[in-house]
Amino acid sequence: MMNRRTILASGAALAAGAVLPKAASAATPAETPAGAAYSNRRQSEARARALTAKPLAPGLPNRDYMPVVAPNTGTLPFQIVDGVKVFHMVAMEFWNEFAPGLKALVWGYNGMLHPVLEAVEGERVRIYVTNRLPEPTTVHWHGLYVDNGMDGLSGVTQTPIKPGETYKYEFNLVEPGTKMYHSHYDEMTQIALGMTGMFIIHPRTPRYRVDRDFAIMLHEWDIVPGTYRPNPLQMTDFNVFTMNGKSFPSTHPLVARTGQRVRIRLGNLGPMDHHPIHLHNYSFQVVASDGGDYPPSAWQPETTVLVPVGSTRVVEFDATNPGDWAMHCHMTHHTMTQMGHHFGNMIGVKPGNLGEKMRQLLPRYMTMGEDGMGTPMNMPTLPNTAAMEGGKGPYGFINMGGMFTILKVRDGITSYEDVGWYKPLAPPGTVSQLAVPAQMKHDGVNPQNIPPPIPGPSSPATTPM
Amino acid sequence: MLMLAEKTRRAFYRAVGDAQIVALGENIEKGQSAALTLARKLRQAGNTPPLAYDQDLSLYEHVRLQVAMDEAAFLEDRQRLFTLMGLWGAQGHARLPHRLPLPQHDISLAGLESRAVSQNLRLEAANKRLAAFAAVVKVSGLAGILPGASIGVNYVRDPDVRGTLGPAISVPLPIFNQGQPAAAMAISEYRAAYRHYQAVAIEVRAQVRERWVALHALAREVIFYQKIMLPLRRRIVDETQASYNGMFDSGFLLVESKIDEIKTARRFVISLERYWRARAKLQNTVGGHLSDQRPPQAPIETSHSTQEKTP
Ligand SMILES: [Cu+2]
Repeated sequence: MMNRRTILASGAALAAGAVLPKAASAATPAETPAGAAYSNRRQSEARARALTAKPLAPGLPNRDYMPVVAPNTGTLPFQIVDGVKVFHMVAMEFWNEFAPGLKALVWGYNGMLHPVLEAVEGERVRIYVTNRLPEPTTVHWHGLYVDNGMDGLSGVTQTPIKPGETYKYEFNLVEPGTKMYHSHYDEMTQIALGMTGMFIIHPRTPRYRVDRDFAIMLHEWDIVPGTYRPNPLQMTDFNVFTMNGKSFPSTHPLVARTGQRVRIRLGNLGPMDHHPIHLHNYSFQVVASDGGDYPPSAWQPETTVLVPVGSTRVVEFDATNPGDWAMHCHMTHHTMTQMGHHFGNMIGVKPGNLGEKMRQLLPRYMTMGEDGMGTPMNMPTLPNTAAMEGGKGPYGFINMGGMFTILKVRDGITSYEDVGWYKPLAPPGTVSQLAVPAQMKHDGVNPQNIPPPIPGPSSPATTPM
Repeated sequence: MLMLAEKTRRAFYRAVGDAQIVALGENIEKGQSAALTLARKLRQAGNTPPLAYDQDLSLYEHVRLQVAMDEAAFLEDRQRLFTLMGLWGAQGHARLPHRLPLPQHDISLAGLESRAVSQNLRLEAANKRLAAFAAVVKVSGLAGILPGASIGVNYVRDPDVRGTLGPAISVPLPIFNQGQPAAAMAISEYRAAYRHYQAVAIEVRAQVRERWVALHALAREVIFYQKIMLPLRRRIVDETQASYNGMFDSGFLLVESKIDEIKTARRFVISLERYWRARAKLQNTVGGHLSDQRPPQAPIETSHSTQEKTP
């Protein structure tokens, strides 16, 4: 039985078949109709043609595209030479401050972590890559349609760029999208140390425009407290989680005016983990990946989008509700910075004489963690360590860190600079606060009424020891 | 009498060292007891399995046994000391100092050998014997034909002589002399006494050297613990405390680092005690003081550091 969808698909198949060279159709008579039915063959062939076509004129920011905002990092500069957009990337080591108190030596480009390459569909780019690292490197253009020799895979498509050498990559940008780039030599080391970024190719003619366009690369690191360099050998126990190289509270907020259409491009080229990124309050639509734009019929409303390693996800929504709205990875350990996993589970421990006994030998001993870990300790600890969790908020301490930032939506703002906290703007009666006993009584709520406890198993506390 | 003095001295050092070891052991027990309290509270909260608690319990019981053994050794050694001193029980108890002093200055081997040659009692006895036979040889009028013999005594007393004690005395034997048997007897006895003296001197010097080397090695061991291991252990405790403060490491690791520091102090005291006992032995061989300087009496710090920097 033929529904609307399959009718459309066979229509596309007929159209695709029409442009196929005769020899090809003749050679594969059995496969062509079925394969073509679900392929985007015309698009594929257009891509192939665009690879060698005469490039279009270089696109300019604010004329041909609205530049993205990449909080905490930057966009690489270019110059136009004989109709080609020329970039110069320098692979190098430098210090990065992840959060207050934590600096480490990382590897990246032009002294930045995850700088954005921004260009326009149809133009030609020439990208020089100078290697200032102690070992060879290459740059792979993740998701870009290029000549095989421009793919940047060391040993397969090119010789590696030795320390001190400069290589040239040059290609037409055949299709738009939220793509990425990363080192493809000794990936385990170079990616772990930070050599990744977003490559945004704006469409020549956008289907529609947004008001705010943010670009955020996610990453994870293993920086042992007291050390000054991420450990590339780590496979599972990462302890620093960043958005554009920063952990909260160092992540810049995303600012928008009430009513604006907001796009957030999320990319993940971290070593091992996928990140479910959640935005408070808003339901957004997932509209694209590094594979390209999803057709609007495939847009999916979500509140959390999983950004797998080696992928980008683009989400869009209308910022209709003003406020300070968190956006963060929903893996709880990914919103902690340098959480030690060897402290021991102290929850529910009744300290009693423990502190006293310990202080006989260790006068500075304090019991910690028995009521939870939401309060900062502020005790002198190891050098070069960041507080596990956030910092000062309008309502007290913010116990979130790591892969966490805030979307700030404000009525009628004219500048996207620091807009402060939403607290003074919150209309009366719209903030959760201590309940009034009279109203509780009126509503029939008695705080003394708690469900009877469920008896546990023979508890360890009652077991003789 | 000198042997008894040496034995007493050694017993004294052992008893003082034992007391320090017991005190340090009690601190280790305190640490292990604090770790056990932490383990018990974790288990009572339902956060650890019985195995974890039992492992800490076994560490604690092991330490308690060690402390009991240390105490028994202390009581036994103190009793031996009191017996040697001719004292009993509580009378002598108050006289024991709390700490063994540190080795303060190097003792030169060259000075020691000469002191030993002039002070060693066995050597003194052998020397007296030799002098007596030399006198017989002189009286019997044989001195004329024994030119070496007349100077023999003074010669071997020279403290700077190393190795074999001078040229072997070759006594020219008269072929036509009348009193041959008597003379031969005197000469032979003199030679025997001389050889005996020579042998004792060689043995004394060898023993001085051997005991000096042993003492020197122990002094280095003591200094190694004092100057390198103990400060390092204290630093590790500070670093572990900082790591604990940041919730990077557990309370168990913290208290373990403290216990390791105290264990190092315990090994330091053991070395120090062995040093003083070795020194007493050397002193016995030398037959008197090892140097012009008196050993220091100031107490030294060997327990765990309680002076903590306030953050
Ligand atoms: Cu995550």
